[in-house]
Amino acid sequence: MTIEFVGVEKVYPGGARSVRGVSFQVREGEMVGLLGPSGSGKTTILRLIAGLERPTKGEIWIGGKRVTDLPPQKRNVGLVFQNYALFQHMTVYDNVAFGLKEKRVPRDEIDRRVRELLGYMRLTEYANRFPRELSGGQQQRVALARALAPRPQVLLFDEPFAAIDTQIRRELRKFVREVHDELGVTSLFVTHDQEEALEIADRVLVLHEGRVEQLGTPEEVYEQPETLFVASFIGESNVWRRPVQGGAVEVAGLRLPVDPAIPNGTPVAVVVRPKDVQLHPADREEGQGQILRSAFKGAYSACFVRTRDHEVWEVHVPSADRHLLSPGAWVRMDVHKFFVFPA
Amino acid sequence: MRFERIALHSLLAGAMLLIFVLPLGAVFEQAFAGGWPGFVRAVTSPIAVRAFELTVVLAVVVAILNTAMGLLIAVSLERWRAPLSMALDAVIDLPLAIPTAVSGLMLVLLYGPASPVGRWLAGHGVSIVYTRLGILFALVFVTVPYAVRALQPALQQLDRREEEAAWTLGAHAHRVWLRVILPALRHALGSAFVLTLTRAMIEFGSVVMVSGNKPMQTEVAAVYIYGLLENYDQQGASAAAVVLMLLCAIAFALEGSLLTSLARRRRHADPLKEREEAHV
Repeated sequence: MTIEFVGVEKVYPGGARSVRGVSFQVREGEMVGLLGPSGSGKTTILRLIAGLERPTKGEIWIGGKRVTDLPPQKRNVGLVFQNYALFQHMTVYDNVAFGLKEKRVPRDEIDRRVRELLGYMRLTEYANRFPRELSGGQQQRVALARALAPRPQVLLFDEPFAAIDTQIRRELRKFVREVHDELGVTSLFVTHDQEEALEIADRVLVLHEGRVEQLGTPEEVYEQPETLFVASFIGESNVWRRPVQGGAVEVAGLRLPVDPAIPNGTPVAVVVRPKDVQLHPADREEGQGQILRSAFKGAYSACFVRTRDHEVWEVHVPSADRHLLSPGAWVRMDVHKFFVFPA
Repeated sequence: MRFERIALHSLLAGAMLLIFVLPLGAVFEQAFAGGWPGFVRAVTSPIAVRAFELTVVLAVVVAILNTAMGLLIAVSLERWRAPLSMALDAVIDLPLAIPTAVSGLMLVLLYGPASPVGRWLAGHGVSIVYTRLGILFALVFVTVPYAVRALQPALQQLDRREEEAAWTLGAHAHRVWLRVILPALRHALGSAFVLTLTRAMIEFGSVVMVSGNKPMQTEVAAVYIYGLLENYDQQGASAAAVVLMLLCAIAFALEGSLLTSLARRRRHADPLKEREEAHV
């Protein structure tokens, strides 16, 4: 099912504006990650889709049907919460069967569907347990099975892995992606963990202060950020604010060309990814900066270089070349790629 | 240090002895002063049996009414944030703050034959004061805070997301109440019921003012005991007191065992196995 937001605004009683004129479209069978810092409106967007909040302005469409005023019971949307929100007084079996019973599905069919899902989620042996008797990962699988049982047209996850240990979290998000691929149900998930969003989402919706900053594939938001916020929020970046001088910006002794139409003196922000800088050993005279320290990160080392302007750059160097970078050494910097945004 | 601990324990043991053990012992000793036949005779007299019946029936009715009303008040305080909820929150404890005899007096003054309300009600064939209805009013008034305060914290602790999950799974408001909220509140509802039940069974002050204390008609157990004592029948009063305490103990025990058995039944009901057996 497709999901479409058209100029959606949400103002809470008291005047707090959580979502400001948001418009976007999610394609059929797509998995979209809603990424943004706290207070960016990502959970509100999820709740608006589920029908748990009503928009103050704008329209919401699911599968070509306008659902703006439809209550959550009639939207056929599955929701998985961060804290699982399992019914504590019900067994795993009854939790999963809940939605089917509400839809008055025949008893035998409920039983068949619940068994099928418990098997699929590797939970059969826990059917008779109560949620409090399960681990966080198991509870989250029960929550997923419960949401999937009534065959929702859209599946929503609100920070689904936030309360789970790192190792289990990795396995679980892989599992969620597999479930998504197998069932082909349109899914949206909220996260503030960009690694999570970039890893499992088909596209990422980056939000900031209730506005959409960019909707694109993980590669697009990383390699072609459309705003300064996206460029600095996704992945590591060096951000320098400078005025334009003669069609270029001078950073660390380098002249980086910008759009010639930008008048002299216009302040801009230059964003350089650490991977887009190459370091070369140099002597004191020609060196642009001095190595402060480097940190081993596995495949690469994060190297911090202090320029003559006393600015510190983060540069990623293949770990194999790490021995060239002893603290105090002078280096020359080549910038392969950079982004320029209005400051 | 050791001496201090011994002194503290002795003090506590002495206090327990003085406050609980000795008075209770005295009641039991008096109750069985005439042996088992004497005890049975005292508690099976028609007046005593009627007083116990009235006490239990009224207490059960009050407990049902107040558990429902307590839930409604707690919900309006915690969920609906009604305009007057702050005032209601303050007023709800009033019956605890004023002497129960004064509560009874208030009802007599409001609904008594001398008051305009009482006269109006009498004109429509309804009399409250000196009837069982009056006792019911008094007991409802005196015990309602127990129900509200037992339910309020449980409501505060409910996870709203469980309800939201239920909505998205297709459950409408009344079904969410039936299948999610009320089961989650079952312990608190049980506590509210038993607290109001036992409190209603032992209430004296307000009832003695409004009931008229007519034997076989409006005399409840606590007032019956007082009447026996006034007539110097200490053995009869003690025997009735033992029965009243027994009734309260049964109420508490029933609550405990009901909750345990509920939990056990859920625990052992294996839905998969049940279905398999049904298929066979």
